[in-house]
Amino acid sequence: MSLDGMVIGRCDAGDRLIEADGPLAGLQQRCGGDLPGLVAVPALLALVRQARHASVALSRTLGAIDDGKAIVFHASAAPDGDGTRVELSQWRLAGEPGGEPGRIDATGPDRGAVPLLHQMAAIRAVLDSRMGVLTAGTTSSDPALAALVARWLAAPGEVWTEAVALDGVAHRQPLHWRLLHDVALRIPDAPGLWRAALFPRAGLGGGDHGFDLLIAPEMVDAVPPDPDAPPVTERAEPAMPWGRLIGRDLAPALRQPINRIIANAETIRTRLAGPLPGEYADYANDIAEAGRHLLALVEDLADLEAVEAPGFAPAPDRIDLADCARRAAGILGVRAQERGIRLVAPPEDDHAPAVGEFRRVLQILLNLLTNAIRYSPAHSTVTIAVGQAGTKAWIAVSDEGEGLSPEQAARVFDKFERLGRTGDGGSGLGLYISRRLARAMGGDLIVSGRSLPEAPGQGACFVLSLPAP
Amino acid sequence: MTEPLVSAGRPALARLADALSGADRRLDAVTALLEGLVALGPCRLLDEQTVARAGALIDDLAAQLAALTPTPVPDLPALLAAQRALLVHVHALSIEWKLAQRLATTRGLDPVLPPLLARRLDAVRADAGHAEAAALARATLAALVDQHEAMRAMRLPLRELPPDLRALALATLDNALALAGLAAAPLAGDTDTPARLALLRHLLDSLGADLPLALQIDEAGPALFLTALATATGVPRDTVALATAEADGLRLALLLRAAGLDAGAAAAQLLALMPGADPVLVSGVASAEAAEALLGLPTEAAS
Repeated sequence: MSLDGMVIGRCDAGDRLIEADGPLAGLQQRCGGDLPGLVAVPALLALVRQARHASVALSRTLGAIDDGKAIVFHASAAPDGDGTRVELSQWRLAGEPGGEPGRIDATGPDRGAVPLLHQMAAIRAVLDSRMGVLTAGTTSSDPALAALVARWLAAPGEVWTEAVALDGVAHRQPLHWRLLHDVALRIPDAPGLWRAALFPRAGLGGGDHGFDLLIAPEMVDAVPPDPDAPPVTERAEPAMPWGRLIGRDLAPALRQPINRIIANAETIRTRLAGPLPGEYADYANDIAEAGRHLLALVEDLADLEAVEAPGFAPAPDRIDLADCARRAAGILGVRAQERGIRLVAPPEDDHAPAVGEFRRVLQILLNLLTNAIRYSPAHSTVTIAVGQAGTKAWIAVSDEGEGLSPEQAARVFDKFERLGRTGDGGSGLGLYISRRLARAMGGDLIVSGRSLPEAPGQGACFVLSLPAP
Repeated sequence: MTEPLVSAGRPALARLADALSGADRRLDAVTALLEGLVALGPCRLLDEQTVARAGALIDDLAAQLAALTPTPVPDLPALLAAQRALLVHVHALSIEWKLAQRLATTRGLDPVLPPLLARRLDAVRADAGHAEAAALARATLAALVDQHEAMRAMRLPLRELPPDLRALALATLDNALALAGLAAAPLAGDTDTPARLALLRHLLDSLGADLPLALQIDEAGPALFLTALATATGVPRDTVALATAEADGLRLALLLRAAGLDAGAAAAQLLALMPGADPVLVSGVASAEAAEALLGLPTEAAS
């Protein structure tokens, strides 16, 4: 059942619903009405009646109780012959079951904090749907803020992020507003960190209504700038600001709530909890994706903390790299299939004994294979080969993608390096962690732009080497 | 009261009688007020939010006025609230705010950036030749946003008062100082029309072929719509704003007809603004002239 478009119904001169699309017919029956029969949703009946009496088209946001849940929809009723034509759109669950059916402003984040933010904001602006500034104002006497507002007013339509430095956001392409909500930023010549809050403006239609932008100081009790102080420079971050926190304390605590977010978002996306319009299903999908990304990031950060800890030492064991390769290929087989990629693992009788920690080697392989699957063209082949060379055993993952240039190959193991890729869920930590793990086990992880002779294709080839027993 | 109410002797009885009659008067006043409120029924003109906002705006004005003099001014909010014209204005602003909030929720209508203004901003951006129109549209938006934010915070800057009310507020301050036996500070209010109302008038004048859209609430948004309806009928904007919250829609219906809308268009606007109103109200008069006559407006020869 798709509710993307209008749900249409027709009523006769006695306000009886005589024709209705599936969702409306269902609602009518769940509310105790018949088809044909008098409109059973009280608010809708009032609207239909009023439109018929007044002979004018009316539209309003209405609430109803459907299966014990408060739902909200936009309804319009227009005179049509003797009766009325009813169009419903934008069905959604109201804020909470049994909540106020008329409440619709649950679209933005942290709605409850909005009045406070309005009080705290030093700068506020109205943005168009492309994030261009339509107007701006400041309540502060700080010349730097006044200069920012003046810049925006002088160049209306400029995307607001152009004039500020977003903290921790490296790339400058347009970002979805949800990613910019609550982003930290720096304002030219103004000391300290600021936070931006974005709220979609009122509007029932599509996404072309623009946004309210509020910028508030990160610290409310900011000390006034000292004119003699040296200009504010980028603070040197401590090597591991989140240090021991993530892996030991946060990661276990975060896994459960994030998994719950993902599961609930999936429930919404698949419409298990009831009908909703397509764009909301897409939002739910975004939520689930972002949740998975977050979970992966938490795992990566926990790993990062582990491998960067001074006393990190894997527990070495005698393992078979070919066996590891076959297991990793098995785990990722479905994902590869989804992208039409063939995974070629070493045959069953192939063996490559090595010394290392099984769990960590598998982690490295999964990371290499995930990358290969993600960045290879569809319908190509990813090959895993194993072998032994002198005192080392090696395992190589090669793909048929574009490969890496020498400059890229030099950077690919750096922390947070994304090689310009964005929006695919990567954290830029996987290869860094993998190499740290490999070296901690007495081996190494290297990349060559061209494939090994054993593996066909011209893509990237990552080689993990470990001591042979 | 310095003396205790209850003490021995005849004079004390007289004082008790006086105090009791004072209490009787207050009780009568409260009863009369309550009687009025109960008779009024659930009233959108006088709900708690509106009363609270009107009170807060008066308090804000009083605070700004008090800041103009170095000495503390007693009872300034009460004296300001006693100025009927001022009270009507803050009441109308509160009603306008509530109307904007309600339309945003029920009709998805942006309180400060209605479709008409958004289209003008788009048009002048696409065509660089309209520098003046662009500046006007942007300045109007800025003024609307400023006022919206001020109302959200329950603030009413003195300069946003119409000039006559600004003068009245300053005169009230002088009066309060004189009553308290304090020297009146020489205060001169400027006579500029507040930015928002002036810009809305300018925008209205510059609409050209789009002028009829200003009388469509879904196009014009509440602020421009109220200015357009006030301009078209010659009725004060505050009265128009208050009409949107009256118990029945009669005055609003007549105003819409007096503005020149035909019965169908007037009914649509009436129902958009007051979903509970009876659309038959717009058909009570046959023409704009009849509506003007009923409202007691000077009828124009040709409208």
